[in-house]
Amino acid sequence: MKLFARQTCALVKLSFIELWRRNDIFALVLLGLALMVPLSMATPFGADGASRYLDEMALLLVWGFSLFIALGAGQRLFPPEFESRTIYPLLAKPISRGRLLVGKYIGAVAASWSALAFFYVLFVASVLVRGGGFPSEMPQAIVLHFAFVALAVAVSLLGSLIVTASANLSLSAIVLVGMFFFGRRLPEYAEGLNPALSWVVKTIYAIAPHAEFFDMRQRLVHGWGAVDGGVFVVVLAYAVVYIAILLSLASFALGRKRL
Amino acid sequence: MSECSDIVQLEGVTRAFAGAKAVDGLSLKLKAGEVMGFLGTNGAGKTTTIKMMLGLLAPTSGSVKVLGGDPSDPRIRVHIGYMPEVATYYPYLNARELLAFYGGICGLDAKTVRSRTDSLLESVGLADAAKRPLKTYSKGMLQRAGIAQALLNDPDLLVLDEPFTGLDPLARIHFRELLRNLKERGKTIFFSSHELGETELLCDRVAIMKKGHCVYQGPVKDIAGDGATNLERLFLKTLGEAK
Amino acid sequence: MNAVGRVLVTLCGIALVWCLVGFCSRDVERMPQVVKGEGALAVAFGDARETISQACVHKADSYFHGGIDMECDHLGGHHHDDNCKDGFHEHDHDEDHDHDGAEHDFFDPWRWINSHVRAPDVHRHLGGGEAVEMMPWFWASVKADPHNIEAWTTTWYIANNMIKDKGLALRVVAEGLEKNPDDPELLICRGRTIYDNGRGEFAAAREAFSAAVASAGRMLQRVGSSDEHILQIRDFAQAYLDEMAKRGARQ
Repeated sequence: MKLFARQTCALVKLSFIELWRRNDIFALVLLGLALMVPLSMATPFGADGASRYLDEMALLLVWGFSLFIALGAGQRLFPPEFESRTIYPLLAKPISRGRLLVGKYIGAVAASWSALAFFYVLFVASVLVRGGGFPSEMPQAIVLHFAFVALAVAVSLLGSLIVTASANLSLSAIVLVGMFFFGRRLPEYAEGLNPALSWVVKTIYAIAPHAEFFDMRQRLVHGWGAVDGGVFVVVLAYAVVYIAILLSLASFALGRKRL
Repeated sequence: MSECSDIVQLEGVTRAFAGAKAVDGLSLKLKAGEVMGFLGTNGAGKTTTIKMMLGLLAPTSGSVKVLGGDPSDPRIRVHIGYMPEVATYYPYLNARELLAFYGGICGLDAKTVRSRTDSLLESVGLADAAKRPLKTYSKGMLQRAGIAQALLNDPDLLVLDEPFTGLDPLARIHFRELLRNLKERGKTIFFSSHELGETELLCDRVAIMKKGHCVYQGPVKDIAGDGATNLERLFLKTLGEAK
Repeated sequence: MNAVGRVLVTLCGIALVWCLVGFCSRDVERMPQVVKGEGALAVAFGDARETISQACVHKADSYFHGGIDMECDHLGGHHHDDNCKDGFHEHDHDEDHDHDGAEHDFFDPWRWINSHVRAPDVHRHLGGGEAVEMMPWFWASVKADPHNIEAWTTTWYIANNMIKDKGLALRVVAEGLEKNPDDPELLICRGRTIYDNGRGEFAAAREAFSAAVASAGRMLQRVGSSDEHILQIRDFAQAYLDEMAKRGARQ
């Protein structure tokens, strides 16, 4: 257990250093500022007092950036190890493939969470600067967002062991963004299709990761209040089960990878 | 460490990829404190053999025992140090962080890692560049960082894949001295190489591979004559390339 | 790929997602084949500008409904806290949006989760000063397509009737008329704001309504005298002129 803890700590630290030294986060923050500062200075038709659109845009950026970070972190866990051949000295150390997978996953998630926490600090600061309050739904929204990031890392990690980097990033982004925006509408689409296509869409609806479950942006922006505690737990359980399945598949894929 | 005097024991090991045998019926023994050079042309099966010795690949048939156990068992690998042929390592880390990372993977505590890091960086000549990101390192410097990580857990068995690749003459001399010191400390060293001169200067025994088969095994001292050229002659003769 | 490259890819991604959302939420077949407007936006987006503009109106509509997308969020069994008497939107507010059971004879856990996470318990509308929250979306809408008259008139309606800021309403109309000179609907909006102001500026109001009648007349000549929409506009402006004439006679 002590060995596993030390190994996990080392892998977490590696992910942190890599993520924060890559400067992606700072580039994203600059991009966010470049978009948000002009928006926040706009007074449409000279009308003051509108703030929800700023919250909404800022949260959309936080979501987009966190997805970008999470997919990148998941993708970078194994393929670069194979390309640079560092997988050999790593697996020649006293660590099994399963432990390495779990440790690396925890590292990528922790690093992505740190970036997400940084984005939320900036978001909350911007809300407070504009004279807004700290929404009561915020902690719940952040926890669900963290769960989404963990899910996105797992999706990307599994993809990275099966397809090429570009294909993985594209497919993972399409699946997660697609489900985020259209996931809940899939049954309606399925209704109007021929039986075969309808079955395909319904299957996608059944098994694809439902990114939209974790999206509480509208609740935050429009003050709907917190999600019912039971539902909150169910969504977290969904994330845990889904991540466990993805990691199991990833472990299988890594185990079959020829070194 | 195992009580068994044979640190490495390969018995009739065969490894096939899609029907083609990369290693065919290889038997090899390496005693404690021995230095063995593993020679052969490209594609002879040297790296595949090394991967099987490290538990990275399972043999198709035959048995591989390292330090008295199965190398796929992480507990056995605690006592093995390995340096791959060419690795670019993690570009955003510096040498100190790289060793701290591998120390963590080996399960070493922070204090031990720190003390070993200082002496290892000094001995491989990277002390001055210890805080520079690895992405700024030359090939030779990366090779030295690789040697340092292989030695970090103070292994009983050191497996090196083409360790002289990319090293300048001065670094080679330093590295040779380093390996000699390790040998004097009783470490067992197994390395593959194309550098016949270095091999002859360092090794107690050599094994020569050809198309997956071990075509020669024997002590270096049995090769009569005058130094490196003799091993070269033996190598060419064994491979059937001698004119 | 370096950091700058990633930023560029991200920017393109955001633009793509934005267009996709707008594209999917509107009627594609209604897109005009002629590029409207000028400048960089027209070059960059072409016909998509109308779609983007409508998507912004759609977004403003969801803001009015407290964040509920009325075309998509049929999920929750939420009930209406409905004091909507302003006529801003045209949705049927009395229907129950809960489709569960009617369409599915099995329990759909994903729908159940969505119905709890993505739908509020109570359906509220923006009212009074809060309506200013919709303004940025309408502003974006008319920026995207300055010829979206529906967006201009709705913006005017919110400023005039919900926020009750006559100055703001007149600014909206003035800007709309700058982009769409002599548009009869916008002229009527201007006339109504001035007329309802109660400061006796009847001459200015009459001028606006007269201009609306004349403009609608010209449009009828251009597109044919049977266009019901334009006829209604003309009749509406004329009705105001008649009412003002009566009031003027009484006074």
